[in-house]
Amino acid sequence: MIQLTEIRRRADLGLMGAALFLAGVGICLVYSTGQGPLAAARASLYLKQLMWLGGGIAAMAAAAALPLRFYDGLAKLLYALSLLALAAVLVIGEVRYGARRWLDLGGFLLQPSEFAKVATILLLARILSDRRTDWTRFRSLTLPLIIALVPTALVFEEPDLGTALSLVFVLFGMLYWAGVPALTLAVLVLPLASMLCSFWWWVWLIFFGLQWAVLHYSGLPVVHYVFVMLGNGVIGAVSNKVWNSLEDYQKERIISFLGSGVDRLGAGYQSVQSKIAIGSGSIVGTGYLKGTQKSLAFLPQQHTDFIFAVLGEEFGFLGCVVVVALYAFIIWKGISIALRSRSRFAGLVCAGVASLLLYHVGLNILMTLGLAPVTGVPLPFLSYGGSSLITCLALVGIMAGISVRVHEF
Amino acid sequence: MRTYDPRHRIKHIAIACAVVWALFFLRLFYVQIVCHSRYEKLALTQHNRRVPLSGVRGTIYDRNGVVLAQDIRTCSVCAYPPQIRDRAAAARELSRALGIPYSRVHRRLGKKAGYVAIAKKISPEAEARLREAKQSGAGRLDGVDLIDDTRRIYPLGRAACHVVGIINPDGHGTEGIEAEFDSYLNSTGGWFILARDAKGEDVVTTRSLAKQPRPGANVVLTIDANYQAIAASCLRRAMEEHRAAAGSVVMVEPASGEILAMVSAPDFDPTVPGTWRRGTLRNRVVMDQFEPGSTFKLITLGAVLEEDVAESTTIFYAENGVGRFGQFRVNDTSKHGWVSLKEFFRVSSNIVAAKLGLMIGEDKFYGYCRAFGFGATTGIDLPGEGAGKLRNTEDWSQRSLFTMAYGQEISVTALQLAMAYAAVANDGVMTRPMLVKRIEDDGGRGLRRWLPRERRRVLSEGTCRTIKEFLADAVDNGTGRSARVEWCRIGGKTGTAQKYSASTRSYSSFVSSFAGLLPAENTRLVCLVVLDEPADEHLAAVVAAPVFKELVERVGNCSRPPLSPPFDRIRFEVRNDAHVRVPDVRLLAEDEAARDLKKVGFDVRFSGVGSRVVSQEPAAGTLARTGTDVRLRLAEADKPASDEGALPDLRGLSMRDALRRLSAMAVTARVNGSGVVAGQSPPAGSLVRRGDCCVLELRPLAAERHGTHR
Repeated sequence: MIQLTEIRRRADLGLMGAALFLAGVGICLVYSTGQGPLAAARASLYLKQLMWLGGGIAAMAAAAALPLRFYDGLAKLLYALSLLALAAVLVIGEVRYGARRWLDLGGFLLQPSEFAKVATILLLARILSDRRTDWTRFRSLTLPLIIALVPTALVFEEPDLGTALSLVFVLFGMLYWAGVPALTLAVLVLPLASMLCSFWWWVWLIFFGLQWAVLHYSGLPVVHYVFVMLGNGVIGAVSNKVWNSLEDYQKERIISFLGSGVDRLGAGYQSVQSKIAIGSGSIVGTGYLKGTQKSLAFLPQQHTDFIFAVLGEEFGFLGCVVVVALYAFIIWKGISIALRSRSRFAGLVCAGVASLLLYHVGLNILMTLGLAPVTGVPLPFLSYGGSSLITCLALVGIMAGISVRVHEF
Repeated sequence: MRTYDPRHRIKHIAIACAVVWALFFLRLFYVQIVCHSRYEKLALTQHNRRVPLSGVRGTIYDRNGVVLAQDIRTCSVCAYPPQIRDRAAAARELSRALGIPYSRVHRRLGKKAGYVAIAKKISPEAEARLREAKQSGAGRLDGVDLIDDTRRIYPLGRAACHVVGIINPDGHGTEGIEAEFDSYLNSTGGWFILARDAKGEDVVTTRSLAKQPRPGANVVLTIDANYQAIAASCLRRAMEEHRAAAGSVVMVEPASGEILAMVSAPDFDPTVPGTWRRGTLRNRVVMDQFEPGSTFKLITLGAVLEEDVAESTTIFYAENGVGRFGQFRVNDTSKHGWVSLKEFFRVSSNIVAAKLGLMIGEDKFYGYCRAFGFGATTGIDLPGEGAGKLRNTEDWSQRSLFTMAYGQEISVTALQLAMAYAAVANDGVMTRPMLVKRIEDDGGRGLRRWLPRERRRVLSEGTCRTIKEFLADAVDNGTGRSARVEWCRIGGKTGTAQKYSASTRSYSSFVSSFAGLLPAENTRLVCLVVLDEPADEHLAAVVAAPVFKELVERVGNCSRPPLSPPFDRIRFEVRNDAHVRVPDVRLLAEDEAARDLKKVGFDVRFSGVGSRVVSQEPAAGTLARTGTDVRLRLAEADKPASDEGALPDLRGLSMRDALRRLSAMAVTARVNGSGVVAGQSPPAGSLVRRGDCCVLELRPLAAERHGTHR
């Protein structure tokens, strides 16, 4: 056991400080979005978020204090619990904004999909840390795929496309870290990419060119990669045909199912308003509490998904750069802890957390900047929402705990 | 067992992360710094609404504060055809309220346009009827809107049309005082900026900028509305009686040169553009030039007496009606033998006038014509004044001198002639004709003021006394007998001039005129009546003099007769009891607005919830009767803004309407098909938040019609 003094000496204060600082910024921004006559409904949300922050700090401290073995043992139980919770959501969940994502726990709305991320990361880490398996073999991927895709499917059913895809992204990140060859991962991703790209024939052509280049230079036997490319071609063509044969209302159903707020890239109302907000910020911003895009309610979902746009409007380029740099710092810290830790399990956990953060930060910020479709993923630490904040801080706590115990097996 | 050491992979991970972060920075730099001004402009255009504040055009008053032209608040009616549910019902209501034929309204409402004008500047009664119909109409008049507007009223109507003038639809004066003082009368428009939230509702922020409109200045004329009305009605009656082609009356106060009345016929209705024709718009008092005839003998007489060519007792031979001057012949209407100067004037002998003219001589006669102001504009403040035609002596023919002595071969304007008589009445001093007394701004501060200006002395007082005696004699015993009134001794001179008609190339028609002084001594009022081309009679004694008499009789009976104390002493406040300007209470708090309005005498009615007034009706600056309700809409400043709302039932709406409803909730719409909305997903009543998507299924209109009319 490590002594408390040692924890204090070796604890990664920079990592936790950065996370807490971002959470503080988030509360300031949530407060800002609650100001003004049009935001009366949001006026007291910052207090709630402050409360969640208290809970988050406690979770972070607890997560940092618990030994690695504990997580290893707890993984299965947590995973089972979160699957149960996800299933419960689908049955008795609260419906908000057209999606069933929340469990009502006596007034508090719990979002089990957030906690499912933690459980999935832990269980994946536990499975992938098995050194006896040859992770370069295709067949060995069956168990991790099942572990990741079951909660993914449940979350997808809510529907919550953004969170469901985050689990997939985490899976790939952890598989990569576990030593699965990039080519294997690419072959896993390629059919999906082919499906998406097939809707624009020139994108599809480029896709095939790239695919050929990657497969050809990876040293795969010609027969294999021709087989893969043919398969992808068939999948793309068929999915395109199927899509086009659908009636309009069926397409609409699929679109509205995939994401209640999914908007065309960069052209939709939300995206434009977000860009206007960020663009009006200039170098130093309009000043705290003075954003008009925000106060006149042009900015949609300003306290949750589009909170980065509030930051951009009120604090400008400089504020954005600071926040973006802090995210880079946290993710870099996670990767470096993963590198340093001698425990394969701990390394995988850190890699999973880092990929999760990378996914959320990257998708959310690119979405607010109009470079990614609007898919409603929260920005870690900043966005309003208790489940997300507590989960993120707990994950940071786990990483901080690992950083203290990098020498443990 | 082959496993990869993560350390080998860190390079790839680092590169991937670096790419993502580079994308962040580049995009942030591009959006926030490179494109900043573009996005800022976009933000401003969607946040701010510039609300124009139209000002009120200045009022034109007569000398006693009677309104001659004024802006009052009114409404225009417009409609948004796509919003109208039942076209026939709406058309019926509109046609009943506005008094417009049903078919026309129905046709207008059927236009394929987002906006059609139904009626402009409707009457207050029509407005009241329409508002009532809108309230009780159970939605039949949805899509019909009333827009604030101002309408210019002209209380004297046709009577003062030429002096006051008219404005064009753009609000700029094109005739009369309205044109001459357009820059003063015009208001300067203002605006204020209203912030607008995502739903398009107005939000009052502390940053609202405002520029108040400035009402136009008021112009106070020297015209007396009573006299003007009397002059107009007398002239109209005379025009009808004698079937004259045109006519004009001008009344001058001789001591100051102030014009008390100026009427021209044919006239027009300043509120009916259909009556604005070239002939009717012409202000004949200052624009028309005519050969004055015998009324011009005043100048000949003045020159003779002033130059001592003859005395009042000097006698001349009137040649028994036919005088020969070289190869030219001059006729009198009645035969006279030897007449004194006084008798000459009394009987108005052309032959004697011609002889007198020759006795005066070219240069002196020309000098007197110039001194009396002929051949030059008087400088009155009206557009398009004519100068008359007085040729230089070099251009005179052999007959010019003696012809001009009895008022032919010279053309004058009625105003010039009236001013010449006014000079005599004013004991020989020419004054400048005054039409405008002062210009005041909205608060009553004087911007410009006109004072009576003496131009020059043209005759001595003694000469004028003699002439006035002659003029009185002409009325008492001579040609002007029919102008005589019992209560006052007036002086006057008739004039029947031959008029050269370009169409017949002959002197076949006549201009009949009468210039009079009331009273003959201590004259208070000089009046000139001119009737152009009277049909049957042409002798001024029969045509123009009775008009003068009627004028004098009626003017003497009016509330401010010319013999009452001098007008100048009577000042008035520019104030109109009937209408008061509505103060601008926009952006004020509720209690402040109420206080401001009550102070002026209006009642207040509020609508909406909020802390500040966003709009008011009647609009600020317009005139409204005291005691009327001013309706104020309050900004919904502390409206609880919920992020989500229930989706309305959009079925049956047109695509445009449905999209409008959705965009008001910031819900994006996906449209399938065309026509009217037949289905929607999510269904009506479901909670949606901004940016959510709603799918609309549209069916062609015909099918829908069929369905509803089952």
